[in-house]
Amino acid sequence: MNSQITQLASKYLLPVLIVISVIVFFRGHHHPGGGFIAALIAATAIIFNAMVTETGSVYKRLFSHPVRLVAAGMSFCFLAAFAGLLESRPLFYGYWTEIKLPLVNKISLGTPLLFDAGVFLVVTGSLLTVFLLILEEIEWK
Amino acid sequence: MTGLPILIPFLAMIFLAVSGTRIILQKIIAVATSLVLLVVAVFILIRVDQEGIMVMYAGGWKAPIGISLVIDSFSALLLVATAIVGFCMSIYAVKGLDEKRHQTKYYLFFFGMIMGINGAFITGDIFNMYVWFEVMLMASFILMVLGNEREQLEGGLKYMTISLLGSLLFLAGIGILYGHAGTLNLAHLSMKFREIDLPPAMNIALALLMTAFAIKSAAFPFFFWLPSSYHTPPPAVSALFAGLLTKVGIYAMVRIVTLFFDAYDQFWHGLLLVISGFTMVVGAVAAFSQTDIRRVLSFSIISQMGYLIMGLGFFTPLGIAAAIYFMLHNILVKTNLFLVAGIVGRTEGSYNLGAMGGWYQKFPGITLLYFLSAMALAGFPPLSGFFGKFLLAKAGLESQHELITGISIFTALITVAYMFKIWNGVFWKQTQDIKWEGRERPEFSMVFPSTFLTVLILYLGLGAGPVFDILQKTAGQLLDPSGYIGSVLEYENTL
Repeated sequence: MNSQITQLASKYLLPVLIVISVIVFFRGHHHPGGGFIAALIAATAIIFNAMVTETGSVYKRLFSHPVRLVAAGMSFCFLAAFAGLLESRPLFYGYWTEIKLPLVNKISLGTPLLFDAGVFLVVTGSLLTVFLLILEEIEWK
Repeated sequence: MTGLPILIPFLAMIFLAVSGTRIILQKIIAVATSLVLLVVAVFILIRVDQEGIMVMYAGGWKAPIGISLVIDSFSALLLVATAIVGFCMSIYAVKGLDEKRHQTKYYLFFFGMIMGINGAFITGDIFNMYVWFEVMLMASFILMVLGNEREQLEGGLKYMTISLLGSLLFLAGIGILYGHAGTLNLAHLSMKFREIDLPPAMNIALALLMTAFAIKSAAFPFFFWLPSSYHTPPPAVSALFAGLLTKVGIYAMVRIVTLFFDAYDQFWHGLLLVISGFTMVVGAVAAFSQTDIRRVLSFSIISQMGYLIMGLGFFTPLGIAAAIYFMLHNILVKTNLFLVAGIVGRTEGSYNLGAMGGWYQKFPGITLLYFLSAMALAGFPPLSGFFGKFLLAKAGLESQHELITGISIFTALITVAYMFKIWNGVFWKQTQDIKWEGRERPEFSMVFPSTFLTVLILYLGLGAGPVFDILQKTAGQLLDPSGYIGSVLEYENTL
């Protein structure tokens, strides 16, 4: 896609959407949001970027191949589910810890957050796998 | 322990996802995992038999609030049956599936399906059951079209369309249930059904659920998707489907009927019997008219489903116990018949009955494997099918359902006829013009699972006594849901 407008838009939208995605991710525990929706937003940003640039450069800028993101996400989910079993507690038992941070007062970290992070990675990874393959195939330019 | 049948396949999926194209590694992971699953399932069965129903609340949230995982004898028996089929199929697929399909990660979706099936058997929450159904279906869609052959895509499309329609009905039913009863927990719902007068809309919800399960279990008149799709994928996939997929629908039906319906609901139980009669006869007659081994066996699945629904329709302890016995027998026998068909098809290069023959002389071992399974399915004593059908007929006569019992015996005769049709076409028929040179001999790793299953089928028939003792206990648990409700809700949690 050679349009100047879309190229500029995607360039500036990418960081904005990623930030929104992070915010949505963290508010998901008590409010609407969470890993799934955050992943949709993040994947949208990356796919939009891939549509105006080459898919090859997107693969390069990702930390790893999208399929590996899926595997990493599944491992996070597994750990979050399995953690309770080690102490013969039920599956998905929630462990929490609080961290004091200067700017946002305090953050609660726990296995549910780990699970959500896993969901985030699985959804992002699988969406990117599918869409990057399609984008390679049809060549937008 | 309770969560392991879900966690083990999930862990295997993670390793398989990162295994790339290292096929040998994938095969090792798959066979090892399915062996571990089998051991775990047997342990669970023993523990449930000794200590009663196992319950676990996910995240520690007690029953009506969180999702509870419940394993009673019925679930445990099916977990073992699933693990046996999974074990056999993972070994069979090592050599029985082409490289291309292994490279597109057959085993990854294989364990996805096993995870979905195990999850559906374990969960004590109706929405969660829907989710596991979806997990199972998504994996099965991919397995169905893995390899991208034209025929497979056509079959897969039919299968997918009708399955998604079933899921939609299931979800709609759950929506109505939740709207009126305010809970999704099966035990809690069961209590509400017993204690308060519920609005007529609940009947609609039950009708939607039963329709959805009838679609999944290929009962009359919703069976048409099965024969048009099951013969398209390779035997490593279709044997897995034949053994397990439709049984999950029956499992859900048994759960709903035993937990939600009154002790004898004239309408529903009568309807189940009518459906079962049509399912049996139509399936058997259609099976007899086919000339492709896999299509004969596909229609045969439908016919056998009728027996299970019939046992459920009788709704007596003997009827339910016989239906569960028949279900276990059917899972093993159907998988084995598809496996043997796979071995035959691989060596022959075709599945058409007209074009083969002479296996009796060339491969007496495989002939014996087929013979025992076919006779078990047809119901010759002392094999498992005989006891299944005999007990079902006994239950039918005891509860004064002479007509449907008569139909089931008539169907058994047609079953004998079509099993002999395959017997005659593939194994017995003498043909001079068949060249055996240059054909692949069946691999050991493909014959072994079939032998293993045959031994289990023999045990199920010859050891019917001890097996049936467990099943009567299971039927007792199912017919008196107060034990199930009590252990899930821990009694102090009453309304």
